[in-house]
Amino acid sequence: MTEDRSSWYVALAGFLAVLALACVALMVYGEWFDRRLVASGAMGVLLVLYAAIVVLFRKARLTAEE
Amino acid sequence: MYRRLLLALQSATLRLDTWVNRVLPQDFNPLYYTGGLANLFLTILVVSGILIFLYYEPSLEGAYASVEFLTHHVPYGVVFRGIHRYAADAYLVAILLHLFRNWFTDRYREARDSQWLSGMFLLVVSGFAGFTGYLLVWDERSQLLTSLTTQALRSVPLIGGWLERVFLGGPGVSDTTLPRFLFLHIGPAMTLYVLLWWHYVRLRHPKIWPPAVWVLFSLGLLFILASALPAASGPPAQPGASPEGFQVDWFFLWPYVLARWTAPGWALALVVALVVYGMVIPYTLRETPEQRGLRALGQAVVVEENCTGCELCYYDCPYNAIYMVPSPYPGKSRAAANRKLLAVVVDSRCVECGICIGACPFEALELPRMLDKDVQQRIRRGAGAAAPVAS
Ligand code: HEM
Ligand code: SF4
Ligand code: SF4
Repeated sequence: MTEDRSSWYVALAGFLAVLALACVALMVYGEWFDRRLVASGAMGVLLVLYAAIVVLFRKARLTAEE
Repeated sequence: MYRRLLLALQSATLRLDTWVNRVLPQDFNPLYYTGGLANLFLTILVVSGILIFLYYEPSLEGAYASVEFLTHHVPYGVVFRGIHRYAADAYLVAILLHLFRNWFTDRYREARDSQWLSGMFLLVVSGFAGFTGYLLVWDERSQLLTSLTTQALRSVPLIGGWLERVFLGGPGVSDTTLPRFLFLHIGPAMTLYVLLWWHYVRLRHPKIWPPAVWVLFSLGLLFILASALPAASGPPAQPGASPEGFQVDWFFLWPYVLARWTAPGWALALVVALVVYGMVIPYTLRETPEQRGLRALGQAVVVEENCTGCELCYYDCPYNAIYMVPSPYPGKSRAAANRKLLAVVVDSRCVECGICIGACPFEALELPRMLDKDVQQRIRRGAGAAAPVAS
């Protein structure tokens, strides 16, 4: 049961990492085409995704309490 | 009644903790870091504030235009402005959560009253700095807030006129007003750091920062808010006009909403009453020393011959009451003969809790009215260690 969940958490983290990459692309796009609110919004989403990935890694027991 | 309400709130707070701990790993529970979160948002406010300050012009003619320039012409200026504004809201939410949490989990009385009192000062000064921030834009809202504030100040008996002059930097709104507002924004913000020193000085290991995951999340959220709902000014202030439209951030400026409903003087009186009540909260539950579980054991004393300078007590005292100093002379026991440091108890901070006694492996700490032999005698008498001891 726990095992199953762990792989599910890792899969979800992987999916979020792909979204994070998309955010990086959006940031570049926003800066390039002068749509700075898009760039900064994407930066915000990226940071939130990173936070979620950190939580998922912990839930999957890939990291431990400091 | 009040006591029962507090107990109910305490169990609700703890239930909420348990619930969050089910969803998140326990050391990520944000409710354990409300103080750290407040500190994080304060730091974000300071950094974004410095960036905004670089563009701000504190004059009646220039203030509005300088904020507009920052918003529309400086790359990412609108984002920094938004981050500053939303961080102020988040900061207030964090402080209030922190306040209620410490209140409901009973961490504000006795030796923690200095944290509570410094906390109330932090709240008041933060609220004031937040409010003066709204004045700096010098749009219609700033003008209206200025006029409501001067009315409220004028209604203060005896010193009202003087307060009004201090607030406006002169007898009325003039060229000196916006530099004054700028000072009233930044000055209190700097005072917060002095108050934070007071807030932390008696706390051992205060969690000043939240875990990295909450730093990422909070920054991310601020960027999202600043981009999705960009900060904007209202119409510019008009000299001599008295604007009626009232679009306030009620969350920060609720006294002004109240001032519009009643009279500015009443709103000011209510704020003062709430602050005074807040200050006396730690002293509201009158209890006898027995009810409070006070044991009058005397402040901890270091048995200098035995102290090895190992620092364990220093790390464990929750009230920061133990300092390590260079040892002026060697100890007597074998373990203490070559010590480099000696533990010293700061009497005014010690609450006689006895935690350091448990921390010290060398029998080098004592509570003077609870010596080893007393404990043994008690155990022999079959009395519980927590029972009050007659001094
Ligand atoms: C600028 C605003 C504030 C900041 C940055 C701040 C920060 C902190 C931090 C980092 C701690 C130690 C860790 C913790 O318990 O979270 C703490 C403890 C404490 N704070 Fe605050 N605080 C602020 C405002 C307040 C306010 C408004 C109150 C209540 C009136 C308050 C009451 C307390 C108390 C009672 C403690 C001791 C808690 C304990 O014994 O563990 N603080 N604060
Ligand atoms: S008894 Fe010891 S641990 Fe407790 S406050 Fe005093 S010095 Fe600190
Ligand atoms: S724990 Fe004991 S031996 Fe170690 S520094 Fe404190 S008093 Fe000295």
